[in-house]
Amino acid sequence: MTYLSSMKIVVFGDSFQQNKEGLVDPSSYEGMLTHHYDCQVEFLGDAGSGPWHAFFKCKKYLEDSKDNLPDVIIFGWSEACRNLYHPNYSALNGAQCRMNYKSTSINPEEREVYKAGLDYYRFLSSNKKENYELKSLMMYFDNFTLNYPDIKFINLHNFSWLERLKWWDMYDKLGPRQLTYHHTFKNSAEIRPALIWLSRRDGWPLNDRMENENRNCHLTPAMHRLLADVIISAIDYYSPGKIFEIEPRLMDKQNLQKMVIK
Amino acid sequence: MKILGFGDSFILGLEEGHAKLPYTYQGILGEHFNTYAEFKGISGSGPWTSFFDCQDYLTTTKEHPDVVIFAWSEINRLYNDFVKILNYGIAKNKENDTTDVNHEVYQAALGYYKHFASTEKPNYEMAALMLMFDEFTLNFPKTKFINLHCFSWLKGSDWWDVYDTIDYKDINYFHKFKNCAEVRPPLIYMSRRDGWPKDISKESRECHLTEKMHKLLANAIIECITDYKPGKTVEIPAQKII
Repeated sequence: MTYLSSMKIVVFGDSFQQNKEGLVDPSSYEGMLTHHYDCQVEFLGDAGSGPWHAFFKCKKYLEDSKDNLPDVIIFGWSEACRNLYHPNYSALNGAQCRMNYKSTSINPEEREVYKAGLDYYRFLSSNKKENYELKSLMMYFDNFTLNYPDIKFINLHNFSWLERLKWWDMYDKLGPRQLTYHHTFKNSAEIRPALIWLSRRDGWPLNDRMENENRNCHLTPAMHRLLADVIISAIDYYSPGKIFEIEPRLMDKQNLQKMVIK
Repeated sequence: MKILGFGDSFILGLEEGHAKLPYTYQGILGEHFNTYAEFKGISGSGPWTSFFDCQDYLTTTKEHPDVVIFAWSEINRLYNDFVKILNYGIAKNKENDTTDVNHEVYQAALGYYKHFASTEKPNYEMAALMLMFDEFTLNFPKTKFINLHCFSWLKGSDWWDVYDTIDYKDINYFHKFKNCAEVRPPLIYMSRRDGWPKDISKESRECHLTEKMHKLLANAIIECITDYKPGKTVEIPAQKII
């Protein structure tokens, strides 16, 4: 592909930042950013992965691209509870470990790693520690960005601080300004509210049947539009420490419906 | 003056009046500042345990201590809501004890050590935790925080014997504290170089340090406290340790 602009945007994270097919869907925020800037946008998120995976992937990307650094990095912060890291396994969350451990298509070594992951989540993980661990990683990343003063870093909170025994349906009961975030970034910009809030708000699969999920990056086209617009604002008016917010009124059901009709 | 200590066996406390107290850095500090320094270190525990203990103490106590000494243990000593001391040695010792109520926890820990502990994550996790603690201390402007590095940044294959040969200037620290003070080098470096036992189970030194090292450490901490400045580093010179 050739683009008018030499600008380069690279995106890290989990399934909220994933490009499944290798093609750019024009109705996704990836497609909208590509169209808006007429530039290369790489979505490198890995489904089911955690924040440490994204951090090391981003770090390695930057080390390997010293002579051709991107202009913008969008970093999607996955769930605090996905805190296991292994360089050869991207999806090491509790559900994936449980599923893959039983899979007949893996070798004994892989099974052992998934079993160790499953046991970690069953017997060792601590909700309190997970949240503080993510907070500390965000702070570290915030400082890490200072090594790259020419790159605009934009943080997306895919999730927010979740207490023990609370699940994602918590987001249905809270307004977009009622979420508790792990960190307020000082040296880079961030976007609020959490993407899981946008996801739950519009088009979430009935009865939480995630196998029926067919939205690109778990978002409807209307939410993709809102997210793309706020990211464009964050890039165009970038300032370290600035929080860019999707206005709550834009996420009213009525407004989302209007966007679909348009 | 109220002095509190958090960490692992490098800051294990002796009771007031204990015969060995005057020969330890805990006792020397107490004598110098005319107080009893309360060391709350837990042998075998990791830095997350110390962090939460310190956080719980400071956020639930009205009268904050004048000084907090924080000894940074090894990051691969796991934090668990129910088993407070969870490290490789303990998990390995309990490996075959199926009657232990926490047998599954120890088994899970061994799985963690086999597959996840030698990745590049733990070093970064430690650096991130120290950075967060550094920021956390800003909530307590009247308290002087002194950080003791027990260990330093190691490669996955390195073991403690690396401290026997490492050049003092080549020690790679996880973090340089900006909002509080710190003492260098790591305590394991001091421990390995003076009186390290052939069999660690026969360790007889208080906090794994000889009297000579206790004095050096106490003097460095006293210097930190008396001339406290955020970002201050007191280095115990290598030639004094050897």
